[in-house]
Amino acid sequence: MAKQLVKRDRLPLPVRIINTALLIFVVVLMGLPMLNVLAVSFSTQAKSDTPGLVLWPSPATVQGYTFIWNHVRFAVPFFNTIYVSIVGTVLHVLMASLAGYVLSQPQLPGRKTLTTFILLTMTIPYELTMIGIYAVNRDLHLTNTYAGLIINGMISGFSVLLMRNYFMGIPRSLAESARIDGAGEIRIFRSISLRLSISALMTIGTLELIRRWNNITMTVTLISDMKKWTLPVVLRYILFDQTTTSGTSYIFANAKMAAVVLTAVPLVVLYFFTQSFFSTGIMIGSIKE
Amino acid sequence: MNTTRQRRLKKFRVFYLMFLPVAAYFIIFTYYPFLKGLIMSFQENRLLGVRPFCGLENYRFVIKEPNFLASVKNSLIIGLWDMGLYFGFSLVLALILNEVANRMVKQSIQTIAYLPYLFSWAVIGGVWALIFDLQGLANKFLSLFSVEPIFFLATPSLARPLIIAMGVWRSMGYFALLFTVAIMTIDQQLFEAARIDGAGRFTQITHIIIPSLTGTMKTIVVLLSIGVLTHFDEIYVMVNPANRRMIGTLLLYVYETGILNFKTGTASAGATLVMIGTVAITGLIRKFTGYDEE
Amino acid sequence: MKANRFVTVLIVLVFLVGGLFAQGQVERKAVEVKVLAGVTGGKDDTENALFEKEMEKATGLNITWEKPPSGYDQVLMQKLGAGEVYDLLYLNQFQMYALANQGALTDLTSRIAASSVYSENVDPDELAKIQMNGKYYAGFNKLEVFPLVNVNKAITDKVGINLNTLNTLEDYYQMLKKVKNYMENTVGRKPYYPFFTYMPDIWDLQPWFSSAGVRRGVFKDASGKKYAPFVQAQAKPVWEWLAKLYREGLMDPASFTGKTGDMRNKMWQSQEIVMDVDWAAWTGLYNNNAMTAGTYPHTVNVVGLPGTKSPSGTFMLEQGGASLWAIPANAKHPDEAFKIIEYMATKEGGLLLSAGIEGYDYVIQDGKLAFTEVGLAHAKDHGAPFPISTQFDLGVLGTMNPGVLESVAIGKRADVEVAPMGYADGELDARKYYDIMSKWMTDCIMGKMSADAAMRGAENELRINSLID
Repeated sequence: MAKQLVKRDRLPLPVRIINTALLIFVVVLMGLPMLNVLAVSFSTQAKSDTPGLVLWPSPATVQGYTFIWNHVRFAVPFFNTIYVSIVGTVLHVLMASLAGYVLSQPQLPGRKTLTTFILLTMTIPYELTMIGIYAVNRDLHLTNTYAGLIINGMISGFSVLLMRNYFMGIPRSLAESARIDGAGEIRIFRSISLRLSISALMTIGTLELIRRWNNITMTVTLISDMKKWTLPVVLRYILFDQTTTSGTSYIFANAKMAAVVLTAVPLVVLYFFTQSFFSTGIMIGSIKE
Repeated sequence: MNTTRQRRLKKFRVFYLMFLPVAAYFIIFTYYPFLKGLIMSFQENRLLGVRPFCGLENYRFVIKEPNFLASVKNSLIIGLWDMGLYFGFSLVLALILNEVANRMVKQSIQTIAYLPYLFSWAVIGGVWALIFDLQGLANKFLSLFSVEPIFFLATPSLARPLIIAMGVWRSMGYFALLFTVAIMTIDQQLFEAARIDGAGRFTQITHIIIPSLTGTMKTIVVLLSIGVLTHFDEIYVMVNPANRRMIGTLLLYVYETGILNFKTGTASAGATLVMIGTVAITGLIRKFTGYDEE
Repeated sequence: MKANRFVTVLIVLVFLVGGLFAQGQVERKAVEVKVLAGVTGGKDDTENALFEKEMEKATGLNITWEKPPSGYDQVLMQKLGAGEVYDLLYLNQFQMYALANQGALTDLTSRIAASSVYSENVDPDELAKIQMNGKYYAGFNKLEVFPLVNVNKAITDKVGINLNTLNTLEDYYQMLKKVKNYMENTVGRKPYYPFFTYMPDIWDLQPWFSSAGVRRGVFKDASGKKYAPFVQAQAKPVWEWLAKLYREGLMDPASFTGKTGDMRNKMWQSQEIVMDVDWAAWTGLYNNNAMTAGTYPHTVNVVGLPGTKSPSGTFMLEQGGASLWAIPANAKHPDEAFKIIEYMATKEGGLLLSAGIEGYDYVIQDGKLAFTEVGLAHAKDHGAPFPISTQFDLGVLGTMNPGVLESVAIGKRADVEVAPMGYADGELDARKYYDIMSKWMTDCIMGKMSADAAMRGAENELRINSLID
């Protein structure tokens, strides 16, 4: 049964050819920066600073990586990043699905107001809140704590609205019939809506994890205790902020790009594999016992 | 009347409770700091100590700025094009990707399409500048057709298209993913039924997939509309003296005039104006797309 | 009921996670001097703690040396704006002016005048450069160097150019022309643009405007009227000279769009340019990098030159914007904070801010500094590669990069005047000045507009924005 569903019809050949051509185009275009960054990171110090686009390192070397290895103590910041990102993401997904689920209730009185409440949070430019955000966190004793890094960004309007949308895609008849069977709202939320939204939850989770992993602004705002720095902040500090105008040291592009690669690789792997969770379709019928 | 209302509220009480933690978060970590910023926009530029109120002075200062109108125009042009193109390109990419039968190939392409989003704008801007340099890849490609080298980065008429293209290039894979997920949640039985009716793949796309995406499309348009006036990072990394007139946006002004000079009032007033504009644009889009309807 | 319980549990959970980890506060000391530091300090948590201790030992104070990881300007604005109280702040010169104009900094004039440390260690000429309306609002972090003309002598030697005879715009023009001709026709690198100047901040133009005797920025005349010399008549020949360089392919087009990093790489790595204007310290870094690549001195041998002679016969160079230490108006311990400012101006303080910490970055062997591996990685820079103290002997730091001492020495020559740009007594919005100037003058240099028209355009916009009167 399942196998039969995965198989599907195909488009006519000419359309398929156009599609393939377009996809190759996209792959080349999008792969370019990664290739450039990789090539530079594996170049020699001198070669990595050669002006122009490098797409292949010659000769190849791991100099850039050894430089970072010798200059950055990875263990603590790496652990900090993982801890903060994972705990923060789990909470984020939980909160986003709660709020998204509420907003997806068609008959809920005040639904529009609540939606506006969420939408407005996204329209506020950071420049307007940057001082206030620091003040709030300080008053709540969240500066220089992991909790601060976890709680800030625990929810975002973006994720709420996406979850709202995915929940709205679930046929309402499922919930209705469950209600008739006497199921409570929480039960419906848990066993129908969440269960049918695994792919959406995975997506929101992946996107949030990546966002948190790369987040520098919030870490910089909250953390000045160097023991609690996260990986991207450490790398940026060592490699990009340290070259002062009248400085005496110089950091080569191969080390800088190696840092970019090291920060990105875990995310690329994560992104690739989470997709297997939702690359097959959902069968709504299967939920009806 | 009152009792039905009470009964209704009681019925929905659980939902309000579910919303409570979210509301609490936003009030503490978003609305409260926002209020502080808003108040600052009515106060004198002063970083330290007590800030005396000065009425609408900061707003007057921002609006009277000689380049204010030009930066509004730049913001709108870049923002609206970005909104339209992010939407169109990512939708098409998602639809095409969906037709790839091999799972590994599909996953790989999707990952690669997402790659630009993993890098900071500084890295992206660097690569982009190399490609569009006078001796860059783009000009090498054009020289195959014996086109004279174009000074892409310093040609004012190309400044906006370049910035817009850069945004599309970076964000396309991201939004395509959101569409892909929505496509994946379509009930497979619908396709089964269509096949029995003898519908080809093309009909399945136009009659099943696209209608099923309506909700997602609305959501994404609304989300994109929020970003119309807030493009900053890509401008910041690409701006140069030759293209400044074409791509200087409102937030660039807020940053350079306000933040860099510690002018708390100017920065807050500028940012508030950006917010008012955003609320207006998003409100229109929300109404126009029927976002709150089913 | 069940539903309520679920939600309650959830809320509790959320705040539990928060509460659990909320104890990680930095412990407070009894009487503490709070310092918010930018570049200066330890490079990681271990070293920063040691740095703090060294400072405490030297000053006898309780110090909290807070050093935000990145985005210092943003953090500074957030913390001060939210009412955080510090005793000492690291600022650049613009930030000092901006904050002093808002009345946010303590006037240090009398303290500096009374300080024996300052009178024994700080050159009065240096001190004059950070004055604002005759007052001082900050002390020094380090000695600032200056940008000067950097030329790759390895190439000009092959062309047969005597660099010591270059004094006028025409001399430099002829030199660039010869180099271009040589590189394109003898070496076969075509097109070759021998000169790069970073236009976005019109940053590196001072050695050329010296020929017209004018300086960058905005000045006040005797009547208090603000004027910008770069848009006045005497500056015109220099703009026209720059436009000529561009027109004749002597200026790299990337000057308008490239970053400083591109310029530097072209200089030492690929030799795509033969001349730029860069910091004195970079003369050494160019050569040091070339040494790493094995191209020094036969292919890359960068030397510093003072540029063009002004009508009064001097070479006018621009001092880099200072990095400074200021005491906020609301500081709780200004006296203690000033002690730290004084210590950083001493010979010993200079050693701490350059070489680092004894026993960590270096050890003393036979009365000389021997750098540890950590110390070498930190490149003798913990905020002040060139300490401000005149008593400090750079020689103790060991060998310098090739060429750097010669470049630094140019600034001390009698016929060389190093002075800061015009800040109009701290009133100038420098960012806006750069933007307006670079926008119009780029149009002029690229040949879209005559020098006259561009200067008029820039002048108008400067005036509309009240940058000049």
